Amino acid sequence: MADGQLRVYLDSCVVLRYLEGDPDIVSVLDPVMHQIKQGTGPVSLYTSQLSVTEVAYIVDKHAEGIREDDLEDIRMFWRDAPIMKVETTVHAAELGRSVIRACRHLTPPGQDLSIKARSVDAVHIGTAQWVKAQEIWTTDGPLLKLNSVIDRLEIKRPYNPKPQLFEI
Amino acid sequence: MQYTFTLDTDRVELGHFSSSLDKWFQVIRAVAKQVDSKHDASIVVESLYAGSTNVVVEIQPRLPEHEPLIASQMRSVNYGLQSGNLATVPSSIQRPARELLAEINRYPDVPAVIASGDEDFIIVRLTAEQQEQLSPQKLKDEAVGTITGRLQTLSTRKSNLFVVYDHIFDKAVRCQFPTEMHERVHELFDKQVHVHGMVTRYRSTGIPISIRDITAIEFAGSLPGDDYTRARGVLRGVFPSDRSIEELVREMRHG
Repeated sequence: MADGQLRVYLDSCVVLRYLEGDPDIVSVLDPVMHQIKQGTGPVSLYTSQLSVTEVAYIVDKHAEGIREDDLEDIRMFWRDAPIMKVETTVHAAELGRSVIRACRHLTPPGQDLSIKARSVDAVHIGTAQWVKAQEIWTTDGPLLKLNSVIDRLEIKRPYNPKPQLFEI
Repeated sequence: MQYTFTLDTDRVELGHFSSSLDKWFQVIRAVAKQVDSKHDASIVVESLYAGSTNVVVEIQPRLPEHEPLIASQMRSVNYGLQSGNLATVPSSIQRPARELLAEINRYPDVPAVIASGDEDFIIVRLTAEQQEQLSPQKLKDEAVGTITGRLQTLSTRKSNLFVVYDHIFDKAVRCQFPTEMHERVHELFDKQVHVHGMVTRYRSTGIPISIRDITAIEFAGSLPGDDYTRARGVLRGVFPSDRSIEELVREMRHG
């Protein structure tokens, strides 16, 4: 991995929105992934292996009438898209535990619970911290609310850091 | 030449002073042995200052011509202890030097100064990761997992080993593989691979060190002609229209 690149951790929501064909997400991820494949991108993408399972669960539970060919395309996506899949290590889990504690201090008992990291959020955030991602890209509102909580890790909606002049 | 060891603070625990002094003595003895392997040099206390933890010794080698060699070797070791990099120190001295470094780093508030003649060297404060490397037995984690990276540096000389440059940290990870995987390893040489097995990592950073009990090695690169963009839009219109993807994910994660 080249130094100086922006390391971005993708939340499962962003991947699902890409697979759904959401134009806002596709218009960001397609150029970013294309640039990574060309070796010219300013961004490298990461996600947890947990995201693969989360996408599979959501598809299995909620995607009615999906065809076998489409499932195969999703499998190929995980295999070939330039997104590095990261396993959940003890270290990532411990970083996640720190996130839960940091959030607990922000939310006094009985008060606003909107800023709160639950266990799975913490695994994703801990994994992002572990790979030294500078940003998490998500479309999930509660996760976006944690943006200012974690040191050296911004949580934001996907954007293209190097806009293209021409469509790919 | 005279050599000095000092723990430079007002309050020093006797156990720390005693232990670090013993480890410094082991370093000096290893240096003297490096120069004259057949005889022990005499290491004599020159002075002990009252009310301080400051010891001055003199190394008295068997032959006078060994003295400059010892001085040169001591200087090299002191530079290593000052920088924390012992790579240039002869292997026979590395172990006692590492032990001295580890002992000094047990007490981060107690600076240790060593001197060769008039030249002072302050023993380095190590990072957590460097400290782990000094005592690797204690601060590692092992778990079944996967290392992804480029398979390189194949060796079958003493045992079956290859190195994978981990794709997250770009660190070399030693991989010990069984003989029956020999052909597979050759096929995948210089390619991106997933290696599954028992992964050892530094506890403080999670950076992988090695992998053993390998169960599988898979090609991890893209195959020509495959197109990940085919999946774009495959889930269009398949989810319930009254709930967003984010709601479905949140329900899955938190019930």
